[in-house]
Amino acid sequence: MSASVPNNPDRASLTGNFFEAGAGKSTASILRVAEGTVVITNAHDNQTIVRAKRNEVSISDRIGTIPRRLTLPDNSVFVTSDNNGVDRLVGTSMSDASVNWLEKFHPRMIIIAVVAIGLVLAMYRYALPVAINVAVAATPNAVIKAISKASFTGLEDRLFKPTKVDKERQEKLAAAFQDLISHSDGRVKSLEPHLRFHASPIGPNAFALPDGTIVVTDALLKLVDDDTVIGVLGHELGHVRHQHGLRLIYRSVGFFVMIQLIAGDVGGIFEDALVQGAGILTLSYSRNFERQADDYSIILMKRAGRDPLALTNFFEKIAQKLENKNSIIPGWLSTHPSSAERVKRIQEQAGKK
Amino acid sequence: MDHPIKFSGNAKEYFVIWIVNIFLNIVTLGIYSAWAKVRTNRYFYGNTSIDGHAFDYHATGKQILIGRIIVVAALIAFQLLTHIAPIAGLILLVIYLGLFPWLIVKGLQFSRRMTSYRNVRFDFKGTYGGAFWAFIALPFLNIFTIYLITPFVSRTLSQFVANNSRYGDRDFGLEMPIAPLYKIFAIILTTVLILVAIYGWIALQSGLLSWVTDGITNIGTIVTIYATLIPAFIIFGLGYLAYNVVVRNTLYNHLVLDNKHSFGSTLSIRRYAFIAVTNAIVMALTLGLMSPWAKVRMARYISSQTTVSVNGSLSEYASSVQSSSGVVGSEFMDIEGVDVGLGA
Repeated sequence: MSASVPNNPDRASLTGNFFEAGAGKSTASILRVAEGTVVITNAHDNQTIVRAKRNEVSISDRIGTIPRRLTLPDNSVFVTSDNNGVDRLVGTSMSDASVNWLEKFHPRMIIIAVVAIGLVLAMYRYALPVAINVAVAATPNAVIKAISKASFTGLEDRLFKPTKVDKERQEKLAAAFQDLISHSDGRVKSLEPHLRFHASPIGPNAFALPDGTIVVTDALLKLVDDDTVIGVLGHELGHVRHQHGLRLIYRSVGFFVMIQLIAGDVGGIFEDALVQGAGILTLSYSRNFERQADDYSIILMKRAGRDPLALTNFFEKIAQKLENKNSIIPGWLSTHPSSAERVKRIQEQAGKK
Repeated sequence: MDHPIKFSGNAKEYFVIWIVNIFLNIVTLGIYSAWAKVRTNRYFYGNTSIDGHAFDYHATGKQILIGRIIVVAALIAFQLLTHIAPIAGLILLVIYLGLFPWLIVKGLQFSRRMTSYRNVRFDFKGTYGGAFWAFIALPFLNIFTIYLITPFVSRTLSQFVANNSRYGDRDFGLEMPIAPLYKIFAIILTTVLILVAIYGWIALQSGLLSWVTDGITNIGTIVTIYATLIPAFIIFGLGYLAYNVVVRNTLYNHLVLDNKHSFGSTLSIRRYAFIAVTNAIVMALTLGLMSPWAKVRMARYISSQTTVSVNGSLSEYASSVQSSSGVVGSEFMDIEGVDVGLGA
């Protein structure tokens, strides 16, 4: 421990510092082991300070080259930086030896590193989705409702104004909505979804909150006919059926926990960067969500005896609307698959089922 | 006499410890993480020394694991209860919130008691009320002042932690001035406001902010939102970093031990930010594989800028200090509590 610890001339002793139990006074001293007994003597006058049976001395684990602490039965402590000397003279515990074997800087390090990286990837790819499924299934409806309410009230005042759509059309769509729900499965019915119309600056759009609240904007109602809107409602119910919103929340929490667990405290900025980076990975995830929701629209529309291709009309309209705004966003950076791709897929899926 | 704090860890050595920790964490489904934490702390404490004597960390993996099991069990109990009886779940939540200051005190006590220098343990004697005020009530009040009393919050927190810390049977003391904190706070606030204004103007001109006014047109929404938020995130991140550097410097420069020994911290905002940012970049480029190097690099810089000024001889002083009674004996009763991650 002390910088001035001399090298051992005889290999049969260790030099270090001795401390009485709980005291800060250090005494330069020498430790020897003979016939199963540990003897510590004062380095200056060679007087014996303490002796103890070897098996009554507890030794701290060897970690890198940090000093080793030997605790004697009377709680006095001998500290030395002579790690090899401790292993040679006093020995080491089995578990410590095996971790140390792994921690030796050796070519097998590469194998351990590769296996560790592989395991991290496997955990991300396979274990995380399973954990999310379990978490989603275990979340009570009350919690889903609370989360949805909290996230919507934040947006409501600023982004959503009262609708200007006439009552009759609202009622007609609400009836069709209830019809779709009666054909739904999973936890959709128990959540008792309800439909809301709002004038909003977010353009022709519809979205679902995890608790089944579905918001349709006036701009969407203006853009497409009722059958198409019902197809869109089927799509949004698909998000509720698969609890995509909740899944995204659990995913970011799970990712955070995974980082914490694996890398320990990786430290401020990097941790934030990782979590933000996970946001980009989430994009591909959310493209899958869109496809899943499209499929659910087809299923519900078929069950309700409606046109399963109704949704495609929406994408065609959106594609037309966006045609003059040429998009510079590459596919992998997008939250939604392209409209053309989705129309094609829906047609294929609808034909299959 | 001034004593520098010496950090002698190296990236190669720590990398091996780190990667083996990850490996064993995964193989044991995270259970090993408790032992991993002990090994990591022992590596960093054991490589931090003053006057040739290193710090040591005494917690065992078992102690930390028990603490974690209790936390997980409490969360599961909450889950189940909200499922079966939502009202009871709500009551449990209130109980948890009430326990929080106690857990903070427990956590600080644990981390102090598990740390030793020259065979003498540190200790913490903060109270529930103190923790409630410093960690919950005041930060909550801060929200209502639009964060304008942030320097007072930092000071209260630092003083609560420092004034209740002990080295053996000796007390630490801290009377922190508020002026340096308000000075840096005002500088950061002004800079951030100016940068946000400039950036907002550019973003508005170039159409980056069109999603706010034109509406979200589904495709690429997230991309534009990120393009707007990432620079904002960097601006606030750097401000946060600069503020923390000043808080730490002020804390150490006014900290005393036993009313006669002082400390010093000379972290430079520029140097600290440079290390933090380049660390983050290197880690991102190597998918985290360089994080042991980054952690060692940061630890080396921080300790190189920290000193202890002992009135007289450190060795003589340390020889007179005894562990406060009951610290070592009670360690088997200690659980980890909440690790608030405040170094001292």
